Amino acid sequence: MSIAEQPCYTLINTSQDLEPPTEMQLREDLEKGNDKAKAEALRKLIVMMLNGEKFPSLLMIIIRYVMPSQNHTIKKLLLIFWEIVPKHTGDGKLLQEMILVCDAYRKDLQHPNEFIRGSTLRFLCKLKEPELLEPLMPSIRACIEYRHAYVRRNAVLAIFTIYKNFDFLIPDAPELIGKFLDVEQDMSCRRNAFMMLIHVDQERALNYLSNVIDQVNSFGDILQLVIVELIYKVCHSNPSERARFIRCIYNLLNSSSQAVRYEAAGTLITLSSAPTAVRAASACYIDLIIKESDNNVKLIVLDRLIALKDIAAHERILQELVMDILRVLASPDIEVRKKTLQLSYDLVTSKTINEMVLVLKKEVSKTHNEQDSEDVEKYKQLLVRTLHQCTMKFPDVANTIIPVLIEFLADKNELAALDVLVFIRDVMQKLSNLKDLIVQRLLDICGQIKSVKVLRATLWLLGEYCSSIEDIQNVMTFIRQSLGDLPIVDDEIRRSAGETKDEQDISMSAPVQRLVTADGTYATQSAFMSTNAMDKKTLNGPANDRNRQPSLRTFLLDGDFFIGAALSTSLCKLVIRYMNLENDSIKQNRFCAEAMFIIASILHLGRTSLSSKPMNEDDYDRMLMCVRLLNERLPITFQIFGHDCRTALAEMLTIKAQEQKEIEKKLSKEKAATVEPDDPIRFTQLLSSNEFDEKEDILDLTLKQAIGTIGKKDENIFSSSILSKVTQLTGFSDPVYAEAYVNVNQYDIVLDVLIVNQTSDTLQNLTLELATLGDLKLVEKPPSITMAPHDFTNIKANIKVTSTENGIIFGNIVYDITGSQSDRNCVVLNDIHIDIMDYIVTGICTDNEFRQMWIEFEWENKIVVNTTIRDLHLYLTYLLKSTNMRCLTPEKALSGDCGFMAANLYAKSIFGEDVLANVSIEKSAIHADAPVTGHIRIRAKSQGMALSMGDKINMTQKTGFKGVSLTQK
Amino acid sequence: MVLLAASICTKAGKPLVSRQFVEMTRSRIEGLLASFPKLIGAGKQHTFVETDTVRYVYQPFDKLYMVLLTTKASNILEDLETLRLFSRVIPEYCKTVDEKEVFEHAFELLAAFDEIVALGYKENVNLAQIRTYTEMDSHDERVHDAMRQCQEREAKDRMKQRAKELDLQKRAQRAAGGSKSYGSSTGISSNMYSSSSADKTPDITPTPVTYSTNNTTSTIRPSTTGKAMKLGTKGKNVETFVDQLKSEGEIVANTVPVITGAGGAVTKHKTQSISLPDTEKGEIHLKQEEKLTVRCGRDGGLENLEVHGMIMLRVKSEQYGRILVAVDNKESRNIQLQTHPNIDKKLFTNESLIGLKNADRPFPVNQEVGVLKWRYTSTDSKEIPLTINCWPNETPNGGCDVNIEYELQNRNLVLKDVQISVPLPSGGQTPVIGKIDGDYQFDNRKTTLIWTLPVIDQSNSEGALEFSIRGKSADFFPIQVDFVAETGYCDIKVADVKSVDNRKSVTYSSESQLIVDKYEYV
Repeated sequence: MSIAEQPCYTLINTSQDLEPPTEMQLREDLEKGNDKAKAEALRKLIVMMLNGEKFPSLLMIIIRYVMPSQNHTIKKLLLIFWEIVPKHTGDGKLLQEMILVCDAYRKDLQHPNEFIRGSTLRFLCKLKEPELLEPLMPSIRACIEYRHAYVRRNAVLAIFTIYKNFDFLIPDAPELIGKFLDVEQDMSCRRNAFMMLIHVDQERALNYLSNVIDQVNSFGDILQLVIVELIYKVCHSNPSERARFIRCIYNLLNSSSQAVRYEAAGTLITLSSAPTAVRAASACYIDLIIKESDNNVKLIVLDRLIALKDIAAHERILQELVMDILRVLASPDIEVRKKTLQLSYDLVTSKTINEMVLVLKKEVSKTHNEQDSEDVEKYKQLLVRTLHQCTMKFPDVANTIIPVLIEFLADKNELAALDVLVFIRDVMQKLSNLKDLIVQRLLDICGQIKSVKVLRATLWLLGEYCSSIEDIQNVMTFIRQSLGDLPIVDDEIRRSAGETKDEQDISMSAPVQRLVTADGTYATQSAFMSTNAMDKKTLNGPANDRNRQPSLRTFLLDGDFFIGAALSTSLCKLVIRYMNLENDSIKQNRFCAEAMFIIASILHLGRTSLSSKPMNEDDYDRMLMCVRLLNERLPITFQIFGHDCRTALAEMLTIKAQEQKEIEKKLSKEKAATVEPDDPIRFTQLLSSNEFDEKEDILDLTLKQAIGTIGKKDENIFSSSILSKVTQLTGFSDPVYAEAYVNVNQYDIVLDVLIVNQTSDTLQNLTLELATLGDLKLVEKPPSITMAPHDFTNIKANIKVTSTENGIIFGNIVYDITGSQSDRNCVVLNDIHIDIMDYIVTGICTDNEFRQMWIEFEWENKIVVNTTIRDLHLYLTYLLKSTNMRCLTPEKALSGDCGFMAANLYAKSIFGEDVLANVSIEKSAIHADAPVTGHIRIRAKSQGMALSMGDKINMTQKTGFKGVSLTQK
Repeated sequence: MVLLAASICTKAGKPLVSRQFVEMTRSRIEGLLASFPKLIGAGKQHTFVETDTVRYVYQPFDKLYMVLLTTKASNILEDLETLRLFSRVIPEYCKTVDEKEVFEHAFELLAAFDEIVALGYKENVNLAQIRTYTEMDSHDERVHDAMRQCQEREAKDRMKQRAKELDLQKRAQRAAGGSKSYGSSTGISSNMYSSSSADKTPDITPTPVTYSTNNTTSTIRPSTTGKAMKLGTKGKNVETFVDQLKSEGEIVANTVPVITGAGGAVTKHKTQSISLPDTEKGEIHLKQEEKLTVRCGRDGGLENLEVHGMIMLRVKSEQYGRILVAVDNKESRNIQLQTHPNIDKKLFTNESLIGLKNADRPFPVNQEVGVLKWRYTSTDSKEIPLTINCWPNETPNGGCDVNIEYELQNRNLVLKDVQISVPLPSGGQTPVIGKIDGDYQFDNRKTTLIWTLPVIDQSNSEGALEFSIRGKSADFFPIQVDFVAETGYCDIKVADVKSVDNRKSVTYSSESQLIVDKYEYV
């Protein structure tokens, strides 16, 4: 067995700057040094051995000179030394010397020092050699009756592991421990003994438990925990016993230890699916979440509740408890709040929605008072989203929610406000009865909006949804007010020239101007606000309202002409609606002219140097188009602006809703147990004893998963056949032929190298020398071997992988030929390339996360598309398949054929690294046969990842097109 | 509830030290630890990460992480508790928590980790217990070692004696031409005393003290009661020094021991018996000493009480060697008395007199010889001389209010220099003392609170101490008590000393004391 396959209990990493001592030095110290020197040498030796070196010659030195020492430190170090030292010779036989060691341990087991006895017993738990354990058995048995609890409890553990591994050594162990348990008083000893019985003799454990079941509540928490474990296990293997223990578990729900309560709640649910039991368990969980201050606990217990919700029968019970769950919102951690909101949203029903909305509204008003921090902002956003979702689910509550939410628009916090706007848009579209109310509210609030993005969206909403003359006129008034005197340019020039009659005007507008021109960022905006506030204080009168810098104009002077473009579109829409409602053509024209005048003023401003940034061409075009539209008044453009826009929006929203529904449906489908036509039907009456057979014990299952004994299932046995991963390392005519099967596990690569001696000589000292390039590390060197003529053998080598990068393994085979005088012979091996695709798995992330990461990641690799594929979709699918990436852009957005395509791709490595890609490809419209062109940009946090992913794509482009063009035919 | 491994990693993700508690391969654990730092997101307010297969629970330090790997079904509450203990262990062994220190103390850390978790299950231990376990300081071992040494010495002495006898025999044979008269005993030798008494209670083996054999009888005065000498703890070298001076005719003032004693009173060694300065001892000096071992449960109840008593006799010159000691035993409890094998047992049982079997021989001169010992054990909680009642109350904010009170049960005793040491949870906190009868000291290094009372007698037979500190109720045990008393625990006294010939009383000096060997509430 190689080191990599043996169980490993200890890891110590050397610090690099330490000079490793030579074997001679170590030998000197171990043989002649005093206790301190010996301990130090032993320490160094252990560290070196843990890092892969071998010192078989020092074994005897240690037995002769170090073992007899009575020094406690040395004794402890020796225990670790014997734990890691190889105990077998190369051919698998036990080393002779170990018998001597064994005798020393027999003495230590009778040592008067209880701690030495105890730690020796603990070491024996890790010993896997029955030959060594056998002579120790009587001493171990004696230790179980020793005075000190420390010795007893370790003795129980030793007996447990020995019995588990080699039950012939101590066949009566369960009986022995059973008796021990009856008389033992110490809590730790009892726990260990009980734990052993659970694993080896459940019957006995059950009997014991039945005897003491009344006292369980008085036991210590560690004992209670294993009792819960026993009940879980027993009920799993033998469900008919369940009835006996429900009462006991229920009692433990009220244990003084929170850990026991948690465990008991989990077990109670598996014991019984009766509503009372589930309710008790869930109540216990909720109580734990509220009472424990630790966020870790809160999150994990919430996960348990979420898992509980996914079981259809239990969901109903949790629905009753939704108000209790909402109490968790008192916790300040954003993650906890997020999970809680999501869970309670999933659980809310028409019965509880009103109460829930009340609670959420209260939370919203609380956030207004809280200090602004990043988390509070995010929390507000979460609350808005949840309320939004609630309204979509239960439209009745909308009119109570809207007033609360509209308040957010005046907030400085853009995150929440933007979400509110999205919410309002949804409501407007779906619940047209609330339109008037919302428009009214928006008109009330729009004067106080401070953020340009919010104002822009609000203007759009007003433009789109105002439907009465009065409203339209109100909007117009608001726009006029917030733009100030028209035309803007003249007004501004007048102001800066100081031609105003009012002196105060000069004093006020001059600093404003300067501030704006100094820098064009938002800082100036706040400067405006403060000037305004100052003005309010000093001037203090309604007469000066007009002179204050109106908000829209501020934005325009800052150079944000996008809002001008949005305003123009909204004005057009308003004009169109006004014309439909108002029959008087004079009024129609006046209104239209006013709108055109506003747009024209903005256009003019954009062409002067008054604003801090010039207007860009897009905004200019857009505004010009609006002017033209109002000027020409063609019915077709009116139709587009007045009607088709809204239809397009409606369509987009329905598609979104559909997608949402599909996802939900998928989830619920996964939830619903699929019964195949040929599944056996189970009758509970007939199946009482083995009902749980198919469910595996979750405790054992997770343990197996964690230590990695459960292998990955091969999804497609043919495509990932072993043969396809065999790499030829040398030529067929080389004296030594070698080929390797590269087996990639999660964190390591196993090379299984087949070596064939093709000569008729015996090859001595044949060594496979390997070296690596990239983030790979050879765990241990393969040993040298001797090969008979025409013999073949297999050598295994383990290589550790720590990150996703293209790795190369290279090396050679060296050997001597018997009897020949020549130097060593050498055969150079072909390189083995490790494919990073083995480490890339498809991941999922939201659009927002993608954008966030796109901004943050430092490394970008731009690859030019170079392919013979002629179809955009085909290219994308090919790319996705060959890189394991997932396309984040929804199917709908990619459908259709317009000659170009843009999509976002995402994947993750098993080491947790993200890799993003953006594909923008096009196809020449003129030549139908032209291949796809464009480029792919890859972004990742680390350079290696971006580079190797790029290499991979280049490779697939080079090698892959043949296969694809074939399929195309 | 299965903890897979406990590791210390650098922030960059290099595992420094890791201990696995279940069987797993090296590549697996290294892989898991390597992927850990990449999984931690920044700015999270929780300290666990889950993957498909395992859960990491961690605690960040300055430059390092303490990570526990658990299964996903593991009990998070329990794991967090364990993690807290693990993170408290690290500063215990490393002065600064950084890579170098951790590497230097890797083995100590591994040993401590082993004590916390057994086969993936948490053990019920606290920091103080871990310290005891890793220090491996065993009382049993000391006893065993002492016993072995005694046996070795005894064997050596026997050998010497035998050699001497053979030598004598040879010489006699040579001189007298074969008269075989070596049957006569050489009397009581201190060697025999020490060896025989060491068999059972090697702890209190009287060590033979050599005094100057100078017979300057004129300077010796009969001793007074010697109450002031109670504090005297001066080393032997001082005593011999003074003796020597006196033998050379110098007059040394008797106040010396008082002065030296006052300074050393605080740090007295409990195992070192206190004895009168040599000048205060009479020609015949009797020393009565009792050692008390008490072990009580923290919830009351006596686990074990043991009293070992002994009367030691020292005779300065041969003329006072032939004496009988009258012992007054008023004890009604079941006390096992044992005399030295050379003492006439009949005489003792019938007349309560201690004398040699061979009445013609004197007691050995200038040697302290044990003549009578007794042993008393009990598990009756009424027998505890001083009961301690410790009530820690955990308050909801993680703190603990502790009330300790003592009560003197045996009202006849006058306890002096009482010290009650309460271990405190480590972490550099100072306890806040609420109410206290007496005085206290706070030993920062050992994190113990020492409650001192100069005297406990009938007048202050009860007292209390209140303090509060952050910690758990289990942190405040074991409590250790130390005191000395002049009256014995058992009612056995030396009544008189008589001469063998005329049964007349002879002047003698005596001292009596009760000292604590081990007195603890666990």
